[in-house]
Amino acid sequence: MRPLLIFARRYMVPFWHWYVGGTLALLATNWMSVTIPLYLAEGVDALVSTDDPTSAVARSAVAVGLMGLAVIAVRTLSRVLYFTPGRLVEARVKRDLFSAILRHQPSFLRQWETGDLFSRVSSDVNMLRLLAGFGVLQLVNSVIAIVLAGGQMLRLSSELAIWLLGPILVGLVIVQLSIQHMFVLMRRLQVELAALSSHILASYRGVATVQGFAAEGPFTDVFDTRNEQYLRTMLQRAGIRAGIGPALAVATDVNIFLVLFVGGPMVIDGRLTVGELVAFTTLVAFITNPLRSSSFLYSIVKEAQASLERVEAIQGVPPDRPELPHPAPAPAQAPRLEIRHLTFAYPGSEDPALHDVSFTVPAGSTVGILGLTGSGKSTLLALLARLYNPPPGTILVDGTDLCRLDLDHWRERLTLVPQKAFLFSETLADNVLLGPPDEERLARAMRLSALEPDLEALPEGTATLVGEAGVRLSGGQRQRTALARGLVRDHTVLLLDDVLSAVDHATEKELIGTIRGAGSGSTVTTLLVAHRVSALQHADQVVVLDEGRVVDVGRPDELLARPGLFRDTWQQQQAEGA
Amino acid sequence: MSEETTRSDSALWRSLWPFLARDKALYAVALLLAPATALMVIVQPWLLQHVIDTAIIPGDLDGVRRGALLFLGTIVAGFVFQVGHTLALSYAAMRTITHVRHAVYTHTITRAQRFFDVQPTGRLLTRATNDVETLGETLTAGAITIVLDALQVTGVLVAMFLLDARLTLVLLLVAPVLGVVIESLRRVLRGLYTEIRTSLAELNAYLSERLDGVQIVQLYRDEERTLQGFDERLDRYRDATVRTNVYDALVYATVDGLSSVTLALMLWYGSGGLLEGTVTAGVLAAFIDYVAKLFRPIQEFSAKIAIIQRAMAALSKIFGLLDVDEAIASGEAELPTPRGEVALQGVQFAYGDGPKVLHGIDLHVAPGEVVALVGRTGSGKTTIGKLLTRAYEGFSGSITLDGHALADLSVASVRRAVGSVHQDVQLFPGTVRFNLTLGHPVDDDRVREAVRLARAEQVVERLGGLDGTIEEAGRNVSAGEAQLLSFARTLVYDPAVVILDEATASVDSLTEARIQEATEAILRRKTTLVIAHRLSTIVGADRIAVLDKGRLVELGSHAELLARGGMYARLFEEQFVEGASA
Repeated sequence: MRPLLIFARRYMVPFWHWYVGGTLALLATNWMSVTIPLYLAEGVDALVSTDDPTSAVARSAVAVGLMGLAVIAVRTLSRVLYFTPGRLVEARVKRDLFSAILRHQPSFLRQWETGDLFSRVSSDVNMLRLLAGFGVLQLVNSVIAIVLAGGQMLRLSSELAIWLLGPILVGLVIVQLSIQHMFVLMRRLQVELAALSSHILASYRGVATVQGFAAEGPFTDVFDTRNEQYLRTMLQRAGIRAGIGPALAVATDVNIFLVLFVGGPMVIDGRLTVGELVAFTTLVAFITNPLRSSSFLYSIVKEAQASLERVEAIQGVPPDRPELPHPAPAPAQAPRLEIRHLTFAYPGSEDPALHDVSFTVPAGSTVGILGLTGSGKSTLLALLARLYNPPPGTILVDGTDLCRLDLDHWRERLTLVPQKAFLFSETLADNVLLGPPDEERLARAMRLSALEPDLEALPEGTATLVGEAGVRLSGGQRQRTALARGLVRDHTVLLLDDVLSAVDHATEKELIGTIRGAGSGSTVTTLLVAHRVSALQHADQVVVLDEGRVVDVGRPDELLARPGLFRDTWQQQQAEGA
Repeated sequence: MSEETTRSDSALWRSLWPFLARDKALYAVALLLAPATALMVIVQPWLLQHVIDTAIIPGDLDGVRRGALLFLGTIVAGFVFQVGHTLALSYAAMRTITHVRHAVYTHTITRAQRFFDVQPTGRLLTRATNDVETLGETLTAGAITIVLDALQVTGVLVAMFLLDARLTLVLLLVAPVLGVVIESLRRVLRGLYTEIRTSLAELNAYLSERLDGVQIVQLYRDEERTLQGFDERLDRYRDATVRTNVYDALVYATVDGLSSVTLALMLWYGSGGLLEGTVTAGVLAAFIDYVAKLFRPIQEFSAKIAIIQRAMAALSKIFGLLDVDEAIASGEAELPTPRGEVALQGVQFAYGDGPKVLHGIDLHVAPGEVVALVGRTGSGKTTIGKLLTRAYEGFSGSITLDGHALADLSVASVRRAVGSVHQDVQLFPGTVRFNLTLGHPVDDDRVREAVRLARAEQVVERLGGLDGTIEEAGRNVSAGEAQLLSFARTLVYDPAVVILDEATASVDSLTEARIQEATEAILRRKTTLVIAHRLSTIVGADRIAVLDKGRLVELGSHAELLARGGMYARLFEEQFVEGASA
């Protein structure tokens, strides 16, 4: 319960005036709703009685009519006053959660798949909205309605009212028991749906393989097995829903029977008037809905608790930033990078991706890194960009431990262009500039990344929408757009992760020239990762990585002159003829 | 490509009919029980009136008890009918969506490769999951309960009219007011619901993309702009929902309040009627009950309409997918024992409306021969493989397999004869065995033999044998291991012709050696077209086909081609010269 209270204090209490107003409106609504039957009863009794009914009936009728009109206003008010904060809370939690995700580093976020994060921001926050709006409304409404209606019935006839308690209690117990069973089924449905979705997604992603091996039949069999298992569980749930769902409605009906069976003789005895009997039937029907929704409340609270846990797992954890609260400023000039006995394993993995790596990148120089897939080159760059925190003291920037640098500053001075070009669904210009329009910078970016010739083929030049929702660029174009985004930034450290793999030799040559130009005058310290030797020919130095270890360091011509991975790779790539 | 089909709503329901028809009996039961359920609901107030007027007021105790027990009888019958109706309906609906999901899945996995080139898999998954679920929700909670509601409203009106026609006429005073108010509110609501749907879709699309690219956002300090973009979309969504709340609440409360106004009018009118002895206390009691039963479905109507609207959007997307007719046309001829002879003649091809990537390729590969395809990126070497496995069609010229034109052969027989090893190996969540056989019935001995030939024994052993588990997206398997498993998979499948796309991704030296051996194992026993990246593979091939910009420029053995001093020799030289200048 504690997390729920904290949540309420943080997000709901700021809207307290809405809730207070809503509660007042609910009181008024319910008071009128239980008073209307009394006036109706008076009216009916006046009809039955013989002495001059017209004026008494007319009085009741006017009262009922006026209250009916008033109900329109107060009921609207109560719902608006409760549901609006629900929506406002939803928006706030969504925003806070998303911004918490943006503050968290990959070292923390990697424990979840993107889809999981997405569902936390969407479904789980929706659940919290349901709690903050609908849930609170139902709780308050049920309490008020049941207390007021119950009081009214007790006043009319306590004997009859107590009779009616029986079916209601039985109905509530049945509903509670079934809800617990439903929870079990719902969990199972979630697991089964996940298994089904995972098979569907894998078959779609691997459709070339499925079709190439003529395995559509067997894959459909697996699909059918899971689809039908899911169906069986859904049918079980449907069975419970159909059998037990109407329990409270039936309780109401049984109560009307009791009103007749027990109340009828009371009328004959003169202990109850006909009007009061009619009022009982109306009040019995009136509390059905509050009762039914109060049974939902349990499941709403339960689900909201689970959702809150999932939200808190992200929001309640401080970002992984060891430099806080006393960060050191990042150097303003191209820094010297020193890597000292760096051993690093990804969280949750036992095999280190880097073993005792040591080398130095002099300020303003360009160092190439060559290695096969899995050699640890991308890991090294990820550590330099502090996507993961290196162990303390293993990476020094102008002599200062990287872990002590202000991460925001460091990222402002550093550019990492990752291997996989990621473009957003926005214009090419926005993708490159990541900020307000700036023609001059944009033109420079296009020039630097050799994108100018490609622009002619795009329908709207740099204003063309790209990314998943836009024009599909070729692999090389995507790579160069990502490169443009990186090169146009003002930085003192440039990390390029195999960014030329999808461009042809001529373009590669041109871009290497650009990158060297960007680094000339020693204003930028550059690390250039590649698996193609040709991309590294002009580096001041090359570090050769193999299975996480530095196996060789030297100038490219030195490395070519001696046997080793560098020369082997070079010979192999010649043979590829690509 | 548009996501939704252009069919009208009624056409959509017609398209759904074959799926519904499979459970006709269940739907019929549900439909038949609907009037019975409604009848019990209508009879109860009538009984109430009867008991009050003929037993309670005259003081007939036995009459009260008899009437009350009769009332209990209608409750039990109503419960039974209701449960029967709900069960039949939800069983039918769940079965229907299971069939629809099956259709969506099988339809999707049999589309041609070019369909997957333009469709994000995430969207396709949504068709088979969320959209189908939404349809199920409508079938159980929306569409047919509206029928039940309509029956109940009609029945209640008839009953009221029969009980007291003039009192029922009072409704005619309120109904137009209610109608006008509700309709005008709904008109606003329809627009708002659409606004909610579109703004939510935009918010979610933005969210999901930024989560995918969160690393770029962070590396480039783009958090502020990203949050701003998120806020803009969130605000639009929030404003739409907050405005909708107001109108929703108004509809709900208006119906509620007007039902009381109706009762007041009846009471007032009835007081006049009573003097003439027509309106009794029982009738009024029954009317109070009837009015509640009349207004409740109206109150819930807009929620149900919203559900149906969502369902129409989902149905439209589902049939939008099922309408896509991009399957590969299958021929009739079968190839029971393919020899593996491949011939291309004047083959030209372009992807979609794009530029031509093949400009007339002529190549004959004898059974058992190994031909290495060599050329720069974009020379068309991978395209040839894709055409041979019929992943794409629409080429001109001719491609034959054992002398049969590809288009004359059944797609299944072509794919059984021609297997391919892709660079990026696809692994599926499931057992190692499933990943090697892909569900085909193959005995374990043959699988083990293939694993041995593919030098993948240690990989399989590490994963826990054939029953070991491969995780989603092959997370627990390295790139090199995946390569070896894919060789084993191909050897299990045992096609006559293999298209081998050698991986450029480099791996550790031990795995590299194993891959080399496994490659040779395949080359030795099959007709092979190898898109080669390894020197040993190229030199070891029977012939080398050199491609340049979609044309076959040279063909011959390594020695021949080097001696000729053409393109092939130049490719070598180019590398050599460049390397030496470093």
